[in-house]
Amino acid sequence: MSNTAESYISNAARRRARRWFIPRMLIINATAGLAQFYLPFWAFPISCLLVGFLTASLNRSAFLAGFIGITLLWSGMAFYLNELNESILSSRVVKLFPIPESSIVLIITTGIIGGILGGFATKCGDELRRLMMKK
Amino acid sequence: MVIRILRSSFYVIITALLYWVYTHKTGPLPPLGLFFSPFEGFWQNAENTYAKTVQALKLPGLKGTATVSYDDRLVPHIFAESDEDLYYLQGYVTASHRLWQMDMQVRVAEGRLSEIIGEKILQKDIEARRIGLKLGAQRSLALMNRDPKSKMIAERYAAGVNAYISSLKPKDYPLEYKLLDFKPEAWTPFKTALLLKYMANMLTGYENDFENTNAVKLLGYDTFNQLFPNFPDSLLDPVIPIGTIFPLPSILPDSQHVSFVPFSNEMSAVHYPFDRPEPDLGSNNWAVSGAKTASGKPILCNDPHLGLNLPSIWFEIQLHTPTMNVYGASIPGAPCVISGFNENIAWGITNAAMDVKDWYTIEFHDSKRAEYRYDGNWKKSESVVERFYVRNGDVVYDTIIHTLHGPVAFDKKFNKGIETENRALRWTAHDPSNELLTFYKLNSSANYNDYVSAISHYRCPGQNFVFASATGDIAIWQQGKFVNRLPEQGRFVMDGSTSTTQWRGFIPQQHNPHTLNPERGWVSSANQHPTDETYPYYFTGIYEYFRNRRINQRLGELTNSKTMVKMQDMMELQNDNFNLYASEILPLMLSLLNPNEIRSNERFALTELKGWNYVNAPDLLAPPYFETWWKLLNASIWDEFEDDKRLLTSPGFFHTIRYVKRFPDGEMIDNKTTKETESLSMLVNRTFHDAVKFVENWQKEHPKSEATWANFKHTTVTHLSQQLAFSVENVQNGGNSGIINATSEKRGASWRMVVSPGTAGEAFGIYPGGQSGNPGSKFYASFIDDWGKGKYYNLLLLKPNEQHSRILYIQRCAP
Repeated sequence: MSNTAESYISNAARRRARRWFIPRMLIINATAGLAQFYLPFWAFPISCLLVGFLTASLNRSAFLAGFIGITLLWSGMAFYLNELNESILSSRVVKLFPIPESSIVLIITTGIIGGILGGFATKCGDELRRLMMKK
Repeated sequence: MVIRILRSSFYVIITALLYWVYTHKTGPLPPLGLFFSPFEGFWQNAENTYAKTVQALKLPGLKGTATVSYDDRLVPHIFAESDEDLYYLQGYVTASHRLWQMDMQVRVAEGRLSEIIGEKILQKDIEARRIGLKLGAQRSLALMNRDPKSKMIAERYAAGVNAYISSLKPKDYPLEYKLLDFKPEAWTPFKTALLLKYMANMLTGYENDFENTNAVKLLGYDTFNQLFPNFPDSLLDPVIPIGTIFPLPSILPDSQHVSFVPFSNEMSAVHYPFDRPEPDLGSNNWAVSGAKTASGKPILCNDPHLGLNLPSIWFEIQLHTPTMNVYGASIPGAPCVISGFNENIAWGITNAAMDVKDWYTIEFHDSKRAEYRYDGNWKKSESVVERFYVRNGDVVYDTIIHTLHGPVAFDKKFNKGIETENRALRWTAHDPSNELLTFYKLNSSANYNDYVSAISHYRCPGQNFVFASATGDIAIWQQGKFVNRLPEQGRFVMDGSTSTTQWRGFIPQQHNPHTLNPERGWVSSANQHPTDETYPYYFTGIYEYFRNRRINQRLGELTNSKTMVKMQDMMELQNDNFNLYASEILPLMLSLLNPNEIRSNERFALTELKGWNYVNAPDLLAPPYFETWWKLLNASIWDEFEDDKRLLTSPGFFHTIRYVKRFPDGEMIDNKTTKETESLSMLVNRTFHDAVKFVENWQKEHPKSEATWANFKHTTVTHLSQQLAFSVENVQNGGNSGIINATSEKRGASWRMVVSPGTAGEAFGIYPGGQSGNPGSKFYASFIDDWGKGKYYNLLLLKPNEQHSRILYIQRCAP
């Protein structure tokens, strides 16, 4: 299925999309960060969806851009808060979950949890874009 | 095209599902996305440990300007110009550190936990509602509102709490709200009334009506009285020293002859379907006269023993206005200081272990429960429908029947449909009371007369208020609303079909047991009998027999020695680990051990026990052997109680020691289920082997820890949600219940205070917790280590605008 889908994309578009991977990831990182800073939780998947919709991409790279972008955003923010807190909170909260008792593990877990939703939301945007463009 | 649409829908559905799981609580998990999001979830509760010095706070409800100075232990020192602003700020400040705890504690009392936790806790909610906590709080609120002072205090406190709540965005909510996924609710004076009933419920469990009734059925009245005497025949060491002359009673209940004793030797039983409250709560307090101290000023000490929890039940605070300057431990949710001191006086509290809770069997006319038998007629009952909003959206209704003997706490609904098991509860916590006024007046008391007038408002839970003043007075009053009983009334479950069993009134307040400046030079209490039998009123309860004797023995030695009593002596006494019951029974146990039966692996235990000084010190190896052995021996002596299916409690350590010393061949010694006739020495030997085996097994299960008393006891300060992640385990501390340092596995000295009123700087205290309720704060559990080590902090009674080196930061508040 993915082959047929990708066959619609020209080689030039593919190259363009590849060049755009890191900038798109950074755009997701920034917009989701701003959205989350000023707006409630729903603004985070919506912002990922919008970026996914507005930027053309290859099939898998949409998910990856969202996933990596948000994982970096969430674990980066968590890392920063954890540093200011000297790990007091994370060393307690980590015991709530069946993961190794380390603050770094909790920071990475945080990132991945955000990344999964970020990735799927971005992919959704990407899919909707394809639907509309290929009509 | 169809494939493409299907493919897109697949991603949309996955994303939508993820979003749902990320924003909704699923099973025990919090909403994952909301909880983990570093922009609004738990990471936002990670307090910046490097933060801030001076802050300006705009508080719209404030009437004037005020300052809150936080010291280096995060104790707020509030300086306000009026009472209105003082209690507003107490509410604001307390909520900013303990909001979730305040919310949960009153939910427990009101029976509203299932709104948060769900159906699994519904039974607890119904129970709280049925025993009448909400009813009592409603009545108390009405009384509180009749007095302009207490009305103002409760309303201003609520306004302060609400000012804090409305300043919060969801990302600022305490961590537990995010974990359990709910929102803070506005505070009200009703919630303060509920909190006081929550305390009353925690502290008035001193009745064994069901156990006593079943014990008489099992043993007969004579044996029952021998094992559970109202007064011991010796070693009684009451709060009010023996020999004190009491006034003749001005009121005695009419001496109509009523028998309260249940029928003996019956197979029937009375059931109690709820969890029985833990009777293992106690407290110590004492005051030593200035004539006996090195400084010439009295010293007052208090250590209330409660469940060891995080956030702690206590919150330290200083409250200052032009007319008041008080410091001490407050309870989040209640205005004022509960145990503390000001420039002129100090006071402390221990629980009066008096029974103020009586049960009546109600006979209903039929299953409609609209009428019950009363003095030969059918009397109409009243019914109230209570609603419970369960988290899943269900609304559960429960009809509570009210009788002249109080609400029917449980009936066939809780007793497997048995129609005859209806018990009404009559309890002083149902009655209106205005404890707030007591604490308000105590906080600004300057002398003995002020103190007596302050505590006269106090009703429930009954407390021993110890007092000392800068002018040299020491005193203690057992204060509360106590039932003026007929002999034996309220010791057993009573007949509810007659008015003759009903309460006839209360002991007049001025006749409550008290003493001022007794000759011996100290006053003390530790939940023991308030008086000896010469007190003109009948009373019953569950009393302490060890801590009180050890305290009085040590205070006797200290006050009669050549060196005068110092603050340090008092701190050591609060942390005293001497095990009085071990010293009274272990020599006998060791003498009964058969040396030929000691196996090689048991020699070590025996040597440890023989060389033991009876001190339950944290690092000793003997106490685990002794405590296990003694517990097992108790169980095998009182096997009659353990084997019986009925609700029973075996005699406590004190009466057990009396029994085995007096009747080494008594009929209770023999184990009824075995063919042979056991002697005490057989039980002692058998349980010794079992005890050594038990400790050996413990060691196998804990290969990394040494079997010291502290490790073996494993004292844990548990988070209110029971989450171990937010608890502190294995606190290294000695003691046990029955020892002055009453630290057991889950309970202990919840606040220790040693203060010399009127002597600047001579005030010390500590509690096993921290000022902040936030697990993400460095102040969350910061006192626990020092508490375990028996250390104290110097308590600062600051002056307005004082520049103290220990001030961490200052909040300047203006409307």
